[in-house]
Amino acid sequence: MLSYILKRCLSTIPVMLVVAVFIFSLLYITPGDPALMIAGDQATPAVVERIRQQLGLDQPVHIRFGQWLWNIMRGDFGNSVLNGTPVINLIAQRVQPTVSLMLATLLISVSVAVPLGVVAAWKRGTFIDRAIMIFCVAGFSLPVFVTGYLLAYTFGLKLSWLPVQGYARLENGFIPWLRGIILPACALSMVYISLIARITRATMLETMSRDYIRTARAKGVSEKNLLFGHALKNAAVPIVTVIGTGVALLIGGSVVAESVFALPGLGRLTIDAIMSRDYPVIQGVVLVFSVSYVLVNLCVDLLYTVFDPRISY
Amino acid sequence: MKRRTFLKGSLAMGAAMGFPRIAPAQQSSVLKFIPSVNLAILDPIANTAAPTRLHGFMVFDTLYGLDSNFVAQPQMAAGHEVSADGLEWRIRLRDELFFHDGEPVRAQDVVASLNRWARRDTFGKTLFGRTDELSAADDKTVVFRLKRPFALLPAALGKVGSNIAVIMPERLAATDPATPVTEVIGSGPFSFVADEYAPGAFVGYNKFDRYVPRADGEVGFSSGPKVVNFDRVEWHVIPDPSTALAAVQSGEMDWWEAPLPDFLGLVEGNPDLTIVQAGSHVMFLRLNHLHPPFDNPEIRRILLSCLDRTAIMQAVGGTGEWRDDIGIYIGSMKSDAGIAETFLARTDFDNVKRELEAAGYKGEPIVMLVSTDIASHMAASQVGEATFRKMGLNIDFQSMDWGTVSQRRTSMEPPENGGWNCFFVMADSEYFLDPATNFLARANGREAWFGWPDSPRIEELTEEWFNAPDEASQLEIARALQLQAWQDVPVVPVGEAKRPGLARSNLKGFAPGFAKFWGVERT
Repeated sequence: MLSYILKRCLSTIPVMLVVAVFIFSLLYITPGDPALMIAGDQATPAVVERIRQQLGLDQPVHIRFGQWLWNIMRGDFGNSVLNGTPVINLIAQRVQPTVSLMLATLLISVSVAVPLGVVAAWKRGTFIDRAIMIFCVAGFSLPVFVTGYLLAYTFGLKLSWLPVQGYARLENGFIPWLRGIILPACALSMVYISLIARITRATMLETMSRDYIRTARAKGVSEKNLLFGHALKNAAVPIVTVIGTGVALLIGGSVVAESVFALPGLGRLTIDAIMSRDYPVIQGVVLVFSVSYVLVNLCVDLLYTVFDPRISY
Repeated sequence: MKRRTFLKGSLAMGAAMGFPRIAPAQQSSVLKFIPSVNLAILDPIANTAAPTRLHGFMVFDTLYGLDSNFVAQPQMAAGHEVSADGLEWRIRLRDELFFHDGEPVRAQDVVASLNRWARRDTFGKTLFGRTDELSAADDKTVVFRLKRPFALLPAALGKVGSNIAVIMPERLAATDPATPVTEVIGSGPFSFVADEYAPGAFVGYNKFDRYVPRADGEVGFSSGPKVVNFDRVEWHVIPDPSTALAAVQSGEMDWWEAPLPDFLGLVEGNPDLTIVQAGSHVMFLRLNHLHPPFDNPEIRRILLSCLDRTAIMQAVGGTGEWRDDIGIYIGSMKSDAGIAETFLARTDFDNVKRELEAAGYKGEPIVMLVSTDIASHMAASQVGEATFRKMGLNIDFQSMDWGTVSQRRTSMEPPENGGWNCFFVMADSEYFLDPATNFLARANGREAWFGWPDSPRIEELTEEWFNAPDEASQLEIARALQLQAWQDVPVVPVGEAKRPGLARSNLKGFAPGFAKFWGVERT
């Protein structure tokens, strides 16, 4: 197991390299110039050129890439070209809101979607099953920003129960943090709930048709125990897979949720950096996202062994 | 955990979180402000972006400021003495001026800051082109020795359009003017809280207790007593307009700098909200004079005669306050010379097509750069495009984000090689006050702003304007400049739109022009 984890961790290196090359190439061919952003409207071409030199943008692309890669290997993500703030500090500022949003979304999604999927499978073909599936289709079809606006309007503006925007850091108190994160997490959860509930229902239906379930039922095992003790555990592997791969979906969705609810997370940092062509920030954030995604998938692979002891590495 | 325990816990948490209604944010002496865009660069000498200027006026101070009639008034300066021949200006600093690091403001700081500013700002370059020497006679006295009299010296040092002549400590002013300073130390009414700065999300300012407002004058654009009534001002960057509106409606925020005009109807009749004036901006069309067809002055003039400024401004300003009768200057030098005869909004497009052909238009594609991420640019471009097409111009409408437009517009290459022919853009009205601030109306060829208009006559007149002995002469020359502009078309002014802000009704004391945080108080 340990050697497997080590191998997987080592395998992230070429993945990161590919991501780095891809991102760097993409930024290279994308029009736009941070020097122009810094220089402003009245700048002469000479001033713009001087800024480009200061930023190292006048260097050949392979030298810039090599320099950046060397710095990354030494843990130096560089500084924002606009305000000089170290990229690592910018990322550190923004990690908490994004991680909070993702964890809260995962928590809400799993705790709602799995029971929904199980119940839908249990009550297959009934009104309850159809209602849950309609909810899932609606949840999957509604864009995050629409759900977000509806929730903010209802619970923030009309009922004044929760703030319509903003983020309170965890160190400023758990309740303010929770109040700030509930609405965006609920908005983002809708798609995720739909996805997980549907896959849970499908895998549960397949599991429920197995011989050992019929045997257990014949032995008089209670329905609750049958569903959650026998069937769900055996249906867990595909569900965990979907949860893991859905993290990518979550990253994309968090960009929207962070914009709608004005959460100062990594998603907004990425958008701002792209709009202002702040290359070091874009590269840093994308690398962080990529590493996170690889690590989440590693965790998912390891979780397989928990749910299915037949799987070993 | 038992189910009953879980339910009790849930109820308790719900009581703690949900049941109390949200208290308005403005209980303490904190003003919560939503800027129009992110504050990305902190140095108002190195950068011209609108939020950087706003931030600059909070943290830094200037020797002079403009009053509400655009007249320069002493700000950090106690006053000045001008020698009889007009060649020496001695500017005395006010007492009790301190930087946020506790150091007193000295004339040496002023000299270093102005030297840095003049290397970036067009007006500054003009002033320093007429300056023999700038020096500090002592810690409190700055001396300009000029080559020739220059009555606009206070106006240059007090200009409100970027780049603004802010004063910073000498050690920071030694920074290359092309490199933004990252340590923000000024002597303005607010100190910047560096530890809290989260670009794209949050900017914090504390009231600077050692700032002594002027005792005289009235609050103008950047002059007068800067009396701060809040302990703290917070900028919360909210990129989504609907969320920003909800935040002001719910009382979580106090003041939104730039709501969408379409939203103002939604808040009409809401007693908790009030619409405040937050300055204005000018929409203009920029033509590239280097390449066909707009290298041809006759074609440029035909375009002026057809452009429907009313329709464009309707699209840009909506139900807000706007006008479409502006010339190339809108401040003290404004004139109506030639406007009615130039902007005819012609609809006889068959004739127009014949005139264009006679003028030499051969149907070459016209690349219009359109930034789709800025609503006003997009609206003006769409309406403008319709007119271009009716005129028979072969328009190539190229959509992109503002970052790409910013880069493309610097290209002097032909349109087919990545260059361009025209674009609509909006700028703060402070740029259009007079020939000193309106760098867009300059026509000094490749030294000019993107589009590179070249008109020796406009440059001669501009030089004459700078040297004019009095305001009456300046007005006469500005009028001649405008008439010449309709011939050479360095810039096409489309219209001016007021920029409304949205604030909680309990805020009073808003000053004219761009958002200012002094004078404002909560009642």
